[in-house]
Amino acid sequence: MPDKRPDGKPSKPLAETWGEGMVNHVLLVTDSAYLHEESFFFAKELAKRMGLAINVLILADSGVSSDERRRIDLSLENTAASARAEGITAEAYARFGDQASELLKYLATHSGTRCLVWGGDPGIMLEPVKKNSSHWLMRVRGELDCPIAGALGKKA
Amino acid sequence: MSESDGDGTACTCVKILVVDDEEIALKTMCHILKKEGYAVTAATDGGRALAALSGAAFDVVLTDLFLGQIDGLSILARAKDLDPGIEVIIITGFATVDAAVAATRKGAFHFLQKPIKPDEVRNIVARAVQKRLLEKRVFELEQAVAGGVSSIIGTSPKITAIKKLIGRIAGSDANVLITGESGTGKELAARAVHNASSRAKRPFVAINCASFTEALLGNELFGHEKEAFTGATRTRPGLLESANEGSVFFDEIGDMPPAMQAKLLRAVQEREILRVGGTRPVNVDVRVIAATNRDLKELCELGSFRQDLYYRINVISIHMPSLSERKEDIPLLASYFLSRCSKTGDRSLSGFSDEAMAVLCRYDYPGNVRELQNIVERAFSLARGEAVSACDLPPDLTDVAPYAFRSDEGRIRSLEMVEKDYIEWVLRQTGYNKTRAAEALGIDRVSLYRKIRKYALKD
Repeated sequence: MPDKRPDGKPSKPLAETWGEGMVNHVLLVTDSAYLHEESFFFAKELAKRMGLAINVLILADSGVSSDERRRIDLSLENTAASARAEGITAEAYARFGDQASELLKYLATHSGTRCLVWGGDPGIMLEPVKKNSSHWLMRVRGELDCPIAGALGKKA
Repeated sequence: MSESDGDGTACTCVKILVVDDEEIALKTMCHILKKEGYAVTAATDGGRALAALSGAAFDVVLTDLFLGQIDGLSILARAKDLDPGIEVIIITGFATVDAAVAATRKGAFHFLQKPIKPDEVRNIVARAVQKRLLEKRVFELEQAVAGGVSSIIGTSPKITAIKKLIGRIAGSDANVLITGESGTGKELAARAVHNASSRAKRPFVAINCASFTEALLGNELFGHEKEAFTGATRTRPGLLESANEGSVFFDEIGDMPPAMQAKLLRAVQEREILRVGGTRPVNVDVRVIAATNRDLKELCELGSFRQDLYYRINVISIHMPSLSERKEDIPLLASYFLSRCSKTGDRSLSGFSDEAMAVLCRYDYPGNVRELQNIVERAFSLARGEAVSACDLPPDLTDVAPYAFRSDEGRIRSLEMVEKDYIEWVLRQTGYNKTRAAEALGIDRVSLYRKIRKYALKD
């Protein structure tokens, strides 16, 4: 990670310590710097109702560009800061590699995950399941002990 | 004059007292209410009204404000003395609106202005009756709430089955493992198991295994001997000793460190523990009730939970369903929480509007009952009317369409199931207008018709 952000301010290390996951939390997951606004709103509401923290987890492919990595860093910082501004304890993590495996590794070391909120493209929830082309989250959903939730957008 | 009558319909279980010294007004109101099926008693003055109140239990009282020596406010006070849950509606002439408002502040449910409009009488009395019946039901529930089976609120088949199971194991002393998502009431079920058992009069000690580090957990559970470590100035018994002959509830037992699991196993098998720094075992006799939202069997296969301990605690298994699996319990739970807020708060709400209840019943509750409780408590603090309306609910319930991916069996649902439900929902929202529904879904009408045929949806 570069020492400085694009705006010249020193970059702060993200919370990357494994094993600190005993705090019960809502896990907000996305697979790029993009965060679906309504899912984030929903994750914050859920955390407040359940008295939980929010952990933001961006799982990106290992081949992403350095520009995308910077965007991811910024996205994590802003998201965590936004949650903290509303009084919610928040941590942010980025993992690069096979997204399904990284998610399972995260969950194995963070037992306090009470609900997973999908913060990426909500459309993946509704795509018909095609052989070998379903989204990685759908491939691992059977391994999860907690509910997966997501916001589908404003009602019609 | 004092008379009572009812027309024998179902509403005659609701008893109403009407008090007015104007004969025509009295007869009119009695006639309106009897037609609604209520059992109505009429009184022409305050004295007869007080006598009627002392002689029978009424649910609602309608009384004129000015009656002579004993006025409506005295009747209000006496009625509330006899039964704080009774609802009193004040009737007043135009010139005494201020007095009626003052009466409302003293606990009157509402006031009616003369000349009386029949629809207004019917509407306000119906609301008073609804509130009364709901509070009676909640009161009955609370009377039974001593941590027993009745503390688990719900009448759905899944919850009824759990209550029956707890009743069946009441005579057993076997250890119990309770599973279920966060917020489904696992601790409530644990207390119900304890209170139904022969250990009910002995301690119930709850421990959250995720809240402690390994060292702290050991000290809390097993206690320590004097001078076992720096600062241990005296012997301190642990929670297992303090729960002796009672029950210990281990919440989130899947998070218990392996070293603690070994010590707990010894306590369960040998019925003895060693305090930190101790050399002599101490006898303990406790029933273990454990809870987890994780798959313990899978953790055993992964090696992070001891299989021998798993079999020791999983003698009886109870699975608490998610709230989305028992949605028919939502109205009762929501009303219970609202009533609790009314009792502890500085005001009382009559219930939920139809629209608000529909919104509550549509939502999937990833956070389960705990989330519903929080939503109701927040709505109570925000509500400005007599009832919780849809706009008092959190915006993500009314503006955003959150979706929790579960099947009815608690497993994750397939995309096809999700798509079918979502299309059905969009069709309902758009009044089955195919053009608008297709536009909202982002597909063309032909594709929409194809999906309607595929899923055999109503069109």
